[in-house]
Amino acid sequence: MRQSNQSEDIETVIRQYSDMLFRICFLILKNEQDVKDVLQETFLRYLTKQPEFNTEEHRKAWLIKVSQNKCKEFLRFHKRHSYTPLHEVENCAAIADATNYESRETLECIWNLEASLKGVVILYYLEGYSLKKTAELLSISESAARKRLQRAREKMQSMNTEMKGDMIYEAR
Amino acid sequence: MKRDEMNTEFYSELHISDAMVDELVADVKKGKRHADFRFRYSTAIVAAAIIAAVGCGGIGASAAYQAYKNRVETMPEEEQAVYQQELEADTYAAVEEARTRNYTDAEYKRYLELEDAYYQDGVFPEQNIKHVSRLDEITTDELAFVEEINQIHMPAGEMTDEQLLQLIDYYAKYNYTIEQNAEEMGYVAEQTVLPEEEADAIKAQGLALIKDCFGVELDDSWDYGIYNTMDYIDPEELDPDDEITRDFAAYVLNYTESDAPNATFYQVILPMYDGGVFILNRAGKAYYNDLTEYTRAEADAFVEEGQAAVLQFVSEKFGLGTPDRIEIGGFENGLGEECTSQTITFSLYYGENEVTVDWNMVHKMVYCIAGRNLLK
Repeated sequence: MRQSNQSEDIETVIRQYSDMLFRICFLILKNEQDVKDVLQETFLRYLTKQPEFNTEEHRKAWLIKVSQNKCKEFLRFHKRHSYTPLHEVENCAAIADATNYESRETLECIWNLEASLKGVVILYYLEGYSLKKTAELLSISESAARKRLQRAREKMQSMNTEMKGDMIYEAR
Repeated sequence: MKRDEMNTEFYSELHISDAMVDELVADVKKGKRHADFRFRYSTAIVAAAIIAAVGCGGIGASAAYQAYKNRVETMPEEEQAVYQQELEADTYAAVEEARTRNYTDAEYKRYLELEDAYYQDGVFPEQNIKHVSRLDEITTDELAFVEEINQIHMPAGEMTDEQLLQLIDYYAKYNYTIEQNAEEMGYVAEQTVLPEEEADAIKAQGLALIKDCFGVELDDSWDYGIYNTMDYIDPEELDPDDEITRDFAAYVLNYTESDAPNATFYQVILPMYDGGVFILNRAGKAYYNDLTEYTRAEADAFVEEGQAAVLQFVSEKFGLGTPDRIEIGGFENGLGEECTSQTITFSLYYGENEVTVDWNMVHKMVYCIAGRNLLK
């Protein structure tokens, strides 16, 4: 009976959170199959630990944190996708559905950031977390998160200038 | 850039496919892990790799250690296959989670003695640990690996010497399997080949730091290895201006007392660039030989004593004054969950510079110090 409840619970959690986790991890790992591996490890961890949460927000944060740690583990050993240009994966399902949009430049800039900077940008700008929470989710200090964000802005500004000179943001 | 100034439409258009979600549900429900080894025991891989590399050079294997090596290397194929299967099914982050109960204090004390006997004197169990499919195949007093629960079933009563030796043997063979996998995946660390003069200078600096900070003088009987962290980064990723590269670039000097996996161990990480992170650490059986751990609340009783010892340590050894701020931690695991610990981590803040010191509550000693700009 307990096993059956666990099965239902994990299915609900996977269906509820895999899309959000996929978006975050895909931008970091740049490959759908690797993201699937990371998510599988993340949800298996959830199944093994059976963590308890007071709120859904807490559950979401836990899943993001674990998936980010798994991405880090992955990148520590496999650097093969770090320099995959966006155009090389445009035909994958996730990108193909998202090719016709004005925000392609932003995607290209984020895509080309190094992983450590990308994590901060994704959580702060795309997921809307505060700087403090972003730092917490990435297990870094708030000042390190601030520095990475600043560095990411500078890199994105420079990349964007190179691409078309059309600024999508100001320095501050 | 303000958040609303970034065009983030693309983000809401990125979706996981339904097929992948279905696959995830099916695989996770089955408890299936994907084929790649990289997620399993990433720390253990590094440890195994370093041990393997250290074991290859230097003083050579003792006769007793050779007995252990022979034992694991001559495991029958069927036994090796069982360990491989169990490694592939492993989903635990901590060794304790892979057992049905922890040791009692008396068991742990005896475990450490027998572990020495196993590696140093070639004392082995009379029989191998049992591997069974289901719990109902064993009694409550038996020690066995049970596939159904994916855990080692610990006997309800106090463990006998034979059972403890079987457990030590299990871990030895399990770790050997990890080493073999790591080797196959190309994760075995190789020592950096340095000009003799440079290697001697790194060794001299490391030995002086170990003596000065820990009061331990290591002689030539200690085996050592020097590793360059930059050997493990894709050359395309090297960017000396990058903060993370600069933090990571270091020589790692490892000293181990013997070839045994539980050997006393010292590690000095010497940054290559100014402002990089320096770490001095000690571990192994001389320092982790007690099961006692404390909760964060229980550790309060040790904070005053630990803090005084830590401040005296950083003042005497590294000339640091009173920090602007001190934070106390060390009671969270990698997932941010609360856990017990034997050490308190004191984070000392000097302006922007953070120095962390681990102080052991049982042995009342500094076990690890890490920080930037500590070496003059």
